[in-house]
Amino acid sequence: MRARERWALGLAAACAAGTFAAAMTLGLPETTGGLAARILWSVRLPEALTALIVGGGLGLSGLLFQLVLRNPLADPYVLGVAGGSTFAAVGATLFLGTAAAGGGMALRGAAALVGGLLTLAGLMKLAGGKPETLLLGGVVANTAFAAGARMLTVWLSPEQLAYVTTFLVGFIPTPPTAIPLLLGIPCLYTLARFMPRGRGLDLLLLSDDEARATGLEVGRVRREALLLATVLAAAAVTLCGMLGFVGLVVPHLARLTAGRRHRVLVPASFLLGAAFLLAALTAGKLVGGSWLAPVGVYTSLVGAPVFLVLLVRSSRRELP
Amino acid sequence: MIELRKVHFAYPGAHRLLRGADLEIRPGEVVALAGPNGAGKSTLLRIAAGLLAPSEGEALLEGRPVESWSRVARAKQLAYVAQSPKTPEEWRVSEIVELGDYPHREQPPAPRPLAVRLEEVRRRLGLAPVWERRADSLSGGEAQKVSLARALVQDTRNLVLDEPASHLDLANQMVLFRSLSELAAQGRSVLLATHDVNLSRLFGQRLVLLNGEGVVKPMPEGAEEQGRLLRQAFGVAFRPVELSGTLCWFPDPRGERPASQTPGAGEGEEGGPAGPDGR
Repeated sequence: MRARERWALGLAAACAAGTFAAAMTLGLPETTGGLAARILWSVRLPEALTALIVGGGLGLSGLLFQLVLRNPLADPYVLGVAGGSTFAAVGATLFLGTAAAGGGMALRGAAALVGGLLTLAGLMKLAGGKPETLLLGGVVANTAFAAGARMLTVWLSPEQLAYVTTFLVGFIPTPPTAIPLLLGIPCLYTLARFMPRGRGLDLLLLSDDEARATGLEVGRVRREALLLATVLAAAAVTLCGMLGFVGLVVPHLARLTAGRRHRVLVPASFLLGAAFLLAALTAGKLVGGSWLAPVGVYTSLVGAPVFLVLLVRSSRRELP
Repeated sequence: MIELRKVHFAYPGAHRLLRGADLEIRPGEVVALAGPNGAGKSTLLRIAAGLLAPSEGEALLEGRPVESWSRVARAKQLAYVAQSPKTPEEWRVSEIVELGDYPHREQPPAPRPLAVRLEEVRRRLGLAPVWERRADSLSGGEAQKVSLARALVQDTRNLVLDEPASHLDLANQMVLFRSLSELAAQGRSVLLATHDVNLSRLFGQRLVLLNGEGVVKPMPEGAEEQGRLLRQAFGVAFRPVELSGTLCWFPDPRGERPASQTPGAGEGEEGGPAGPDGR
């Protein structure tokens, strides 16, 4: 690993650790009688762990989608994967309730995964390998699924409706600590799978024939990356709903700081994704005061301008 | 060593492109494959590289069916450069070239260290001035050399190159063909597709033609037969010029226009060499 890459990874790790500490401690009420400790362990820790795992997972998911589809605009939301997952998860909520743990949660997760996978498979078949068609199809699917999810709200109970409204914007719940840890497994698996094989991911940037002739099992690696990216997005949706812009912006930030090699980009995207969502969580608490807007509002408010800046930077390199 | 035996191939819904193509590239040999657009040169090269399965016939690599090699083992034996290679935009040249080391990360390691191979291709292809430049700032010819360098870093005994000189200026074409001769002299087998029917022969390399019949024909010895074969393959008249003891052929602008753009146009016509007057 080169010096710049080591520095970038160190910086990303420091950002993730710093924002994690901030999410845990900032604005903690000064009380006696162990209330602060209870809030710290029962509310702040599961919240911060959820943001860490979901943010990291979305960063990884976006990186893999952008790489495999060779499109810097690809992310689970643009591609409709999150929309499919959300529709399925809202449908599951209608029948199974809003539980953030237990069997309801597991079934909602399974529904989100199936919804995401079916959407991706359907769109890929429809697009026939054309990235533009895939992206446009994804945008259409996302809109349609969002409309479908809102339609389902007609049948929801007031409690379910409140939950789904927040779900559609994206929020950080306070589940039992074991839940984010459980959802951390696909993140850890993806990191363990692709960090040592970063050079193989690099080869996906060549033409398929050249990558195959250089020794890469292109089809297998691409399928595995797409599957894991969808699992990560579905896991994020299951827990936090539609969190926009994390998967889109974070891989670009990682490339800006950590360079181009996937051996470094994979962990950098995880760490920066975690830092991004933890920062949004903390900012929401500090800025919002007593009005706690769902964290998805903040990821979109920050993500949209950051993405526009990146877009303008890259377009300035080319004359119109 | 690369061998193609009675290779047939047809894309779905299209006419049969290859109809029993035979070709053998022995160690120490550079074979240039020429032919009109759409004749199947790239298809033949992809079959030779194990990237496409023939409908009939077989492709052998070092005496074994090319598909019987594992992906990595094959990449240690054969390197390939596509007709339109992709160079990752924001990557530096040095990083792209280094990607060629991928198969050697698995056991057994490459016989020569990566640093030695990198330095060798940098020097051989004159890449020093662009070594740390980003790929999106390269010209088409420079990008083509970078892709070739990546394939050379694979350090294989066999090279399959699809039109490696198509974007190169004249001086770089000379560098390329000289380098290929040097690499072959080290015991490598090199198969390349080209639209230049002369340059490879000026470097003493073997030229074969793929015409509309879907078979590979060697360049014959006699001037008359050479002219006839070229005219059959490309559908235009050629004029011969002798250069350094090699009979070179150039399309004659005063000759008749091609009857059609389809491969093998002019086939079956009375060919004959273009004489000194081009007729």
